[in-house]
Amino acid sequence: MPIEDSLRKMLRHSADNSSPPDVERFRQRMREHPGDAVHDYAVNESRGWTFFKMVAFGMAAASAAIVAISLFWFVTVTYPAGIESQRELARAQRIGALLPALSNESPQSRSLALVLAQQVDPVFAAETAARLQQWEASQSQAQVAANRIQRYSTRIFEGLQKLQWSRDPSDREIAIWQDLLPVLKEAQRDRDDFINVAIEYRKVLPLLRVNEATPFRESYWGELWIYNILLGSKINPVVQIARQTAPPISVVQQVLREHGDQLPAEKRQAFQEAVQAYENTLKTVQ
Amino acid sequence: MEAESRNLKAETLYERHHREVYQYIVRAFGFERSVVDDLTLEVFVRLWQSARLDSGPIPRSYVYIVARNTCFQYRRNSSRGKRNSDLTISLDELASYADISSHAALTEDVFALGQLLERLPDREREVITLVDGAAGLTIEEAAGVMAISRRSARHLRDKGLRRLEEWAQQVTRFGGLEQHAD
Repeated sequence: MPIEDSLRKMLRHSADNSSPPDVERFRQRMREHPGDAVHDYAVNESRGWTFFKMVAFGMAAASAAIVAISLFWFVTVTYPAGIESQRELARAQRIGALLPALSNESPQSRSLALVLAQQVDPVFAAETAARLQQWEASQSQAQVAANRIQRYSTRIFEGLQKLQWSRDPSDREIAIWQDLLPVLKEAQRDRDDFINVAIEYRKVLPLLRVNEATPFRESYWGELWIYNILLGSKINPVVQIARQTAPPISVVQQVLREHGDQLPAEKRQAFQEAVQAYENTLKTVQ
Repeated sequence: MEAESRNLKAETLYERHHREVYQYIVRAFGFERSVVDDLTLEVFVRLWQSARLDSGPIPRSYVYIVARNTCFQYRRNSSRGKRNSDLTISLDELASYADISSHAALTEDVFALGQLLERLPDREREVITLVDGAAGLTIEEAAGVMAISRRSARHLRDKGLRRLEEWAQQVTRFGGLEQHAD
């Protein structure tokens, strides 16, 4: 017989043989109670208790939600950010120790520091290596340029000094005719030399006086020749500055008309040639 | 006049259900006999006082809900909720008392089966008492009384029956085993 049937049989049998209180005892019990009290005993809990339980449950759920959100926030945001900032700090400290060696003038020190930096932070090391290469290239370029203009530099420097500081009128003529214009013409024989010298002449251009001719000096058309040469140099930064400071052709022609007749024939012709060349150069540049 | 009518209805209800309610309290809660007597009377007093008595016949499941609540309230108030295992004898003792020789004999042995039933966990024992006992409730009604889902009630009953089957086989085979009911 399956246990289910046995169980049913047993329970029924047991119920039949049980001896619960008889109905008389029930009547007696009813008499002991007041008959007018009517309740609903199927409801196990009072409303107050149910309300209290609901409030407590709601508060517990809200607390659990807050804890869960806080935990989630900590795990996903705060903790990784803390870890990341600690890493960043440690990296910065290790890189910081290498910075003096990286900026050292000795290439060996820099290479060694780069190798160490690669261990600490490969991205930073790669970027620094690229920058260092650029810097070294520009350094060598500057060195080559300095070597190239070395033989002109004395005369350029002397010319600049005279233009800038001397109050003696003849010094200006010497600076133009003996220092600056000859250097420029000489440098024109070698294009590389000329480029470096012309770049250096950006310092000369602001000191030339071709927009005014009072008092008139014989250096005027020499200065005009310097403009001629620099405007026609095709070296962009030099041409840019020369164009900004160059006088209009009308001004130059006015100066020629006013002062040309006072000059000896030879000098007047040289002045005229300079003005003519300047006019042609301006047309070409424009 | 109205009071007499209520009394009569209550007595009728008592006559009809008192045996099965008594049985339910004995089996499902394992209280002492004197307590069960008292609780059985208390259940019907409550039904007598219930507003439902005036609104037509009281459903059987309602009787059991009141019985269950009464028993739980008693257990709470008395703070004497003895565990099932305290009230039962061990499987070893059971095997020796029952003088069991076969599985068939055990399943038909009222005493032995009753002892095994008492060893079941409370909820399993309760659902089995409601469905398979004198109450004869359906699974749905038992679930309503116990305030659980129909599925849970069915699961609890199946689990309880499986345990009983298993224990019955063990007791029969070895004539007594160590306790591992829970």
